[in-house]
Amino acid sequence: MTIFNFRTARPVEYYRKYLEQDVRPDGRDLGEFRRTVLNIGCVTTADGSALVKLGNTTVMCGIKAELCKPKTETPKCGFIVPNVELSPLCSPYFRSGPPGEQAQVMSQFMLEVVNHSKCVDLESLCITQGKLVWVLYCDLLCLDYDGNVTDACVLALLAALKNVCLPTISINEETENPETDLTKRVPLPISSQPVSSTYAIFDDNILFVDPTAEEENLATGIITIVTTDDKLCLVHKPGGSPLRPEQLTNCFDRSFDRSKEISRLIDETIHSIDR
Amino acid sequence: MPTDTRRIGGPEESFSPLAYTLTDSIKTLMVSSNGIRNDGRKCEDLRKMFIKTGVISQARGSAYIEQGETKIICSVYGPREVVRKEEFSMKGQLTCEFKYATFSCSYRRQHQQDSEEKDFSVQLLEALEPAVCLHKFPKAQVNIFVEVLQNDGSALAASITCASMALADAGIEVYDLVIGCSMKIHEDKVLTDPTINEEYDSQNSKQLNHGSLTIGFMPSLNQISAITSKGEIQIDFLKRAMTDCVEACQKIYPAMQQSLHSSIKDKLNASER
Amino acid sequence: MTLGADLTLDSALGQNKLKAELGTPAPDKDDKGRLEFFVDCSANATPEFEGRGGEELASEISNMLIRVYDCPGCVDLQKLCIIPKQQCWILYIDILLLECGGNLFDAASVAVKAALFDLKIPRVTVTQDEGHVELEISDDPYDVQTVDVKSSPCIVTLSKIGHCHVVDASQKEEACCLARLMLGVSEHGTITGMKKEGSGSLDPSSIDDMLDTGKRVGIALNKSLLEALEEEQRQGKKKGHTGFLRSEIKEIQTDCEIVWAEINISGSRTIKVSLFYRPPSNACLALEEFQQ
Repeated sequence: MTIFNFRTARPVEYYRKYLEQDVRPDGRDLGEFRRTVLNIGCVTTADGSALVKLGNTTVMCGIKAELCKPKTETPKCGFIVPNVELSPLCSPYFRSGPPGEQAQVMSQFMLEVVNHSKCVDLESLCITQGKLVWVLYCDLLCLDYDGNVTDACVLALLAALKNVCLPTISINEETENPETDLTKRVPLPISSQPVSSTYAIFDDNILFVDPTAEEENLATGIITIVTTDDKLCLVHKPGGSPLRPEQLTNCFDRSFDRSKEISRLIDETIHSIDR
Repeated sequence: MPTDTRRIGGPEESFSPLAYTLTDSIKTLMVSSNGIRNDGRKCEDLRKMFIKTGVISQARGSAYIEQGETKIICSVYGPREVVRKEEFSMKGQLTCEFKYATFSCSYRRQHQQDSEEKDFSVQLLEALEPAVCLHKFPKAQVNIFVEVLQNDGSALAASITCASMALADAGIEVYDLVIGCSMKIHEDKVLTDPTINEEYDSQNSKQLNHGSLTIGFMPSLNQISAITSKGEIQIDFLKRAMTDCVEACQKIYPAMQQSLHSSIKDKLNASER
Repeated sequence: MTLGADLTLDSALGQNKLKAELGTPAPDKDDKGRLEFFVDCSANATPEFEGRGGEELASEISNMLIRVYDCPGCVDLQKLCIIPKQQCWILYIDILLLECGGNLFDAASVAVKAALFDLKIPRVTVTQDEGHVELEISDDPYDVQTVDVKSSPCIVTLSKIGHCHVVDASQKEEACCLARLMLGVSEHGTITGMKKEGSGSLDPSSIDDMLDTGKRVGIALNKSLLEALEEEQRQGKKKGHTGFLRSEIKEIQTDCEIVWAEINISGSRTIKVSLFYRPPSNACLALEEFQQ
């Protein structure tokens, strides 16, 4: 049996053989992310945009800013509306039509990341208290689904938010209508940097980071950790194999390292665009 | 409008800030007296084009195209089983789905396909169908998905080209490539590969001969697989625009061939290793 | 004689189906009224339309109508605007497909044009009072405005069969045709919209020929339709209306093209139109068809 047939016929054994040597079939260490490529401001029709490639996995985030009335209970707060689109374009497993379960779960997760990390102060989206605020529609479009779309989404969202430049709005006192000045644009202040890292649990005890689509399918559990700078923001572990406390601590350590890597990557990318 | 429970909802109503811009964009002539367009091109010039195949790892075939600022990605899946039984047919089937990303235009698009996108899906299908050997995959279907990431005019034309490249990349047997090309007819001038501003300019003008023409062209068979026009145009102008379109397609053809050539080379090199 | 598809398109206000309503103009065309097309392919026409079967065809027809009516010269939409950016007339054009006999698109466009011809919208007077705008809609049935349809287009579909093309294809002819070119042709012979349909492809030179034919047939069709409509208007209600399909056939012969316009009246309006073109290169097919 050739190695390729073995991989398709008995994927779990195939992986075990590799993992015995502490290496994955694509040559990565257990704690190694795939090559992360970031491109910021690639779509000029959006108010902020970013493209993230994590190995083959590709996610594009485009942000459109619109004006709306705030909720009466929070008259100073704007809105951030993240939606993840897992279109049939990115993988043969998705069908066209309304978002499936996975996309809904991911959109909800993104909303939680935005809310809990407080990366954007919603009050900074206020134009006139109680009357006019910004709503940022952040649409995350998966273009290539090769596992770990969550991390790619969080990074794409953060990078796109950093890229947002809002036009200035003034209120005409006579007509009380807003007036837009597209020439004066102000960048959106970002107060913290949420970074997520996802781990797959294999055979109930081996943990490796940044799983591919194949690895996700073989995993007995998935855990996602979101950090904001040097703090823990949220941990998402929807069931699956149980973990020992020291395993979790290892994950946390790896996540904080990743957070530093990402913030360096973003700074470098923004710097290279400025030049 | 019924609320979409499957997506994160925002406020009930929101407006684009563009609706409140004060200064109307200064009207400039679309073509200056010496025949130069706003972006510095001559009437018959195409924009810079970039085509790459094999961009989506999960798809059977895929392609990405940049035509000026217009950016489109396309993936092809199949031949795979027909989902809906009632659509069963002995011939192979082709389906197309055309979608603008919500952030791809100056105004925000909705998640659901609107009537323009549905119309473009049908046109895309009709442009590609004549070129595909449907009898080679009986009882199965090939699905084509097109996503416009940024729209700066000629989106339909570029997606025809892109989808045809993706089909070739997928190894679906075709009689020929299909090349899309658009023309804007503006008074007595015919502008090749219009940008979005040129497409929308003087759309409301009452004069004759303001419109656009898009064709899908099969270069080695010398056949037109799709042709659509908009706006009131005299027949002579339409014929002229069509000839210009065919000429422009002939210019695009070598670029597509070259791109496919190099992608096959890459694939061969990769498999040798 | 092969008839085009039978279509009813009820017009004007009250009992009929071409409804005009007040609404807000589209944001990008804020000084114009709107046309909204809706095509209903009823299961009466063919069993294939049962359930959601007719939806695709319906949207194709309405898209084609939008395409050919989407140019400023077709219908003076500015006249349908009452207050720019705020109020305008929206014409809802409902097309009900009763029977499929081929050439649906052409028949639908003829029906739309006829319905618009017959449309009467009550006059609206705008009074401004301290910043408040008041609309008054005239209830006098004779105080109405009409829409000028003279320049609105008719669709001409040219079906490629073998090496030649025919207009007004019957269902059987449509079945053996791989590619069709649909043209919106105005009375002057300008093209207001064009679309290729079907799974086949066309040679550039044959498109040239089809355009020429389409122009000629389109001009003739527009002319005869307008004559028929005006004749109908002249006779007005004096003529007795009995039954649903009482018809009056007008025959116009130009060269080798034959255009029948069959206008049927009874409270509501039914229009049957047939036009026939014998391509010089294909005598036999045309003659066969003619004899039927």
